[in-house]
Amino acid sequence: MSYGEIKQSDAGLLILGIETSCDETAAAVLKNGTELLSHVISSQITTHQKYGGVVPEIASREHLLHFQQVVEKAMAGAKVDYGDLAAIAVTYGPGLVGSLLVGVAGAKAIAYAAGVPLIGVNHLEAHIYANFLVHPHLVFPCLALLVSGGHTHLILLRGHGDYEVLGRTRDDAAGEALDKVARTLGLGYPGGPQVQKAAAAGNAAAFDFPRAMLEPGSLDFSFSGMKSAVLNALNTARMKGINLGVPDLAASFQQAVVDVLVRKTLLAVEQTGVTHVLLAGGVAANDLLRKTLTQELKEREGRLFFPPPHLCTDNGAMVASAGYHRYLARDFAPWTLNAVPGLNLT
Amino acid sequence: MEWHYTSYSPEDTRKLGLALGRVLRGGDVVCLRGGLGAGKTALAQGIGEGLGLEVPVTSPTFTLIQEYNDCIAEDRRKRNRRENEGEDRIEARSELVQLKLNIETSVGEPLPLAEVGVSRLDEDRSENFKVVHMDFYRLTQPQEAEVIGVSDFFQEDILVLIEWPDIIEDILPAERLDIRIEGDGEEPRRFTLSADSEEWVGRWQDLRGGIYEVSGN
Repeated sequence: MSYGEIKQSDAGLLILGIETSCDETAAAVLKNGTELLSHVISSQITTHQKYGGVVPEIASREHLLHFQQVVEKAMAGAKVDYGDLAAIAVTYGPGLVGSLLVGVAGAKAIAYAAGVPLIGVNHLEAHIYANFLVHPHLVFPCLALLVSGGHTHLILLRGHGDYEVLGRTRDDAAGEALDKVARTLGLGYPGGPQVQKAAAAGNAAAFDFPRAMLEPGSLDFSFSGMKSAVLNALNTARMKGINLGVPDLAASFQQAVVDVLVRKTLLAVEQTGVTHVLLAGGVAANDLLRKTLTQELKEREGRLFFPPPHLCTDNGAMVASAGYHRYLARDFAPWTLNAVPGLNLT
Repeated sequence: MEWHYTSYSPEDTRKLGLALGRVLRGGDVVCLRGGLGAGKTALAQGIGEGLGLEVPVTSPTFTLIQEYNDCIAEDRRKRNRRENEGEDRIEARSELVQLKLNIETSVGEPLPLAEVGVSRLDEDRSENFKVVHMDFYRLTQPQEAEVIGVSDFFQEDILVLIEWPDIIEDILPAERLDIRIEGDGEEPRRFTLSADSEEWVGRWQDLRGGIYEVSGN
């Protein structure tokens, strides 16, 4: 089969995006790169709340249970047939191998049966591409701050598919630190939104937690020490019989995390001269982070872009968006595409 | 057998990892036990450096299982080549030489304060193994670990590092290195390394004989 021609039927250029790398089974049909015809997420978050985290055994079993239903619902919602699709894009890493495999095997089977090309998408790239769904006229170069439970990356984007990782976490991801602190404070899962909620009633200056900036000029992150500082404050207080206010702790910790993310991003702006910044990943939904970065970039004649909250967490639309741009570049995956749990962004 | 080590900073912890990373190999299972903030990931990072991983080891809490495919073989080959040519040796030595270790044997008899330097690298070590770093902080039931195939990773060509291993205690291989970290907050961290096998006794001697040089004074 030749994929040389752009397949654009009357229905437009249609990409089915499939995402199963972690705790969501998601699928979406995207038309011409920006028009979301359908967007289905079978969120497993209620299952996971019981366990305070993503439990892989449950995740992969749930993916298997939901996969077909989610994809069929996305196709029916978009009112298109598999044969109308230009391509099927699927996340093949990074993530949990069992979960990734469900999506990759399923996408391959559908693509092969329907006779449409397959596109492999990096999960981190997909998060960044959530921005292109709502800001299609973004121009390169731009910077991306990708912050989630598993990742904290500062990336320079020179063009579609042309990335340079400028900095990344050396230990815990920002979302992970928020999750662990939330769990320690008894706030529940997922940690980010819970900390934000508790922080609303707290004083962000109540505790002066360290801001790990690492060596001068470094764009890497380190959140492990900041997490430990909260634990230390709690331990010390407990030994003295003092009860620390959860809202104050949450607000101070959130402030410390946001401060570091903002300072590093501004440092990247300074170092590269690139002033357009894309936020991506689950922590991109954090209000304080959005507000602070928007303000700071405005002062530097730059601009912050971010997806709406429902496109910050894992979803199929972002995979379709990244897939759309790979389609335009004729970047197709072979039928031997496999799940790559430790896939890097290059 | 048990060995002890006291760390006064994350940097000390990383350096213990660095030393361990030089004697670990495919088939090894290393359990890292200790509370939040004890330094499990810091130790794993040092191990990664000692192994010569090309990418930094980061916390696998979110991903649960992090694989470092192929990172090791290429880099180690390069490093060994450089070492043979004598390039990196001086740099490696200057980094380690400042580390003072107070190593005690299981009998509690303190060894002289060790001055550390790199005397040789084990050139016989297999280069063909991958590193898998696991973290079961978020698991609540052993079945969860079994279903994702944790035991499939216990193989000759895989070095497995496990944080929060308690939940899978029943399926852990008997031959393993257990590292327990005690100490909270600002306190120093007390490391207890224990292994049941004779083989590890020899390896520990390698570690001291091969990487640490006990100074005469």
